[in-house]
Amino acid sequence: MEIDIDFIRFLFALFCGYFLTLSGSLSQLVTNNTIASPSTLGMDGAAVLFVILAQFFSIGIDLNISYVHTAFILFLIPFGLLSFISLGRNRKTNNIWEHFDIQKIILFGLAFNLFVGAIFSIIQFLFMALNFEFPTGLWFGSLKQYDKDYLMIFVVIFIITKVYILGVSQKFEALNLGSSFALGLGIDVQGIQRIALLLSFLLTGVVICYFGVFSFLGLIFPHILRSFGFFKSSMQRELLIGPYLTGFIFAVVDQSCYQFDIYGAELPVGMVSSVVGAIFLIFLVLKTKISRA
Amino acid sequence: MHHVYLKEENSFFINNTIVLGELFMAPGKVSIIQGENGVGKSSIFQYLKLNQKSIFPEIKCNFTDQMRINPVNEVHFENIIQNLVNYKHESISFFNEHLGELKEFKERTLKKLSGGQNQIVKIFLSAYLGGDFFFFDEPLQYLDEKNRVLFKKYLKILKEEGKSICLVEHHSNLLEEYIDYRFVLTKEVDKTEIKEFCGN
Repeated sequence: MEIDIDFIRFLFALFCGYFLTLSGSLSQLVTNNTIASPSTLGMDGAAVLFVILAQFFSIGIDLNISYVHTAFILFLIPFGLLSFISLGRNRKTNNIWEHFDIQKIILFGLAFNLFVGAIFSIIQFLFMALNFEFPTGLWFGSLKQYDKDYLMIFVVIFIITKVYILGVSQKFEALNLGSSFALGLGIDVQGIQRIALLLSFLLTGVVICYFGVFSFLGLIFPHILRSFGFFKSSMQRELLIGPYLTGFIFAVVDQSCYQFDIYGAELPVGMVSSVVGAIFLIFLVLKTKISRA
Repeated sequence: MHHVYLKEENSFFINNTIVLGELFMAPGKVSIIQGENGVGKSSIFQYLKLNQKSIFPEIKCNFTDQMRINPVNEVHFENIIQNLVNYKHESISFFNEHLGELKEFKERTLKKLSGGQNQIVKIFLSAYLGGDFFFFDEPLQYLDEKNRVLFKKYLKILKEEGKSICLVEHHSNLLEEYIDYRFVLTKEVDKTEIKEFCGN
């Protein structure tokens, strides 16, 4: 059997795996909760809203750019606003979770994703009834529709992220021991939490706008990394080296979906991640319950 | 002698309760903050921690609070020592002298430690990271008799090494011999005052 590797697609898959792993690790680190991830915090649903919105724009207005670019631009507007508001606020408390219950936020995030899913289904129905084009596969991401033009955006975000993580990786190591502990070392805990969450949202947003939702990858990948001795004892290794490994794993899984079609149809890699991820989340919740008991 | 003034303008940091008064710390001396539950002792601790750079400029502070260390990954004590090397100031001699007492659990992941073991790990971390001013929020909580003795040894070494120490502690009778300055917080209708202090 002949194996034809699509290297550009492999590179995009590497970026997606890298971004989602980092997004998951950052979410878990700043919330100090191992079931936090872009999928459980509602980031997936929020980003999907912008893709749906972009689809609306593409009906009435000829923007001369692909709707995925429109989705990302639309995503960047509130993202920029959120960054401006959040980074400009005074910090009078120890950490941003002080007044919130993270378990409730996770429940809210999951409920929000379901809500967006319902909106998605209604709009999909309306679009199809009116014979408009609709990104039906959005909830099950796939790299099938990649374009080399996207590469520059992914590279820029990769560089920004890398520079930031390199700059504060020592602080992340302290933050891993708890926001209270990190504050005792004179670290601006709130500032780091805010930037890390924004970064996590950006990384998830760019992947969803261009390739759709790969549910729960941000949850699974950090846990996979922590099962390796090399990563489980160092947050710096997990954040600086780990995403390359999981990115590679993801790229291999994606290439497998690409190579081995089912009755001529390619299995969306996002579908695989959704099924495996949902089972993994149930396992994690049960594991947490058992260890508490 | 380092004075900390708690005035009306900075009191909003302390759970919306106005805390007024003055605390001080001195090299080789232990200051203790006391008062009933809910009077604002730990809030003062949090206030000092949050504003350490402005209240204690140029001074390396070291805070040990009641919060459990609960990392998302599988780190154990020796990993933390390696990971936090950049935050190390100048270790207190207690760290090397008594490190052997951690042998039972220093290679166990922090997640699997009991409350008392977690607390003693925090005390060893405090000794490892070092500093000039040391703050402890109810350090004896969760500790068994053996580890309380260990903490007293730590306090003694800190005093001998000329460090300034501030404690928030209910069981001051257990540390009586080390206390130099005592600050008592008294809550009134809408404010808490540091009403009295006395030296040993």
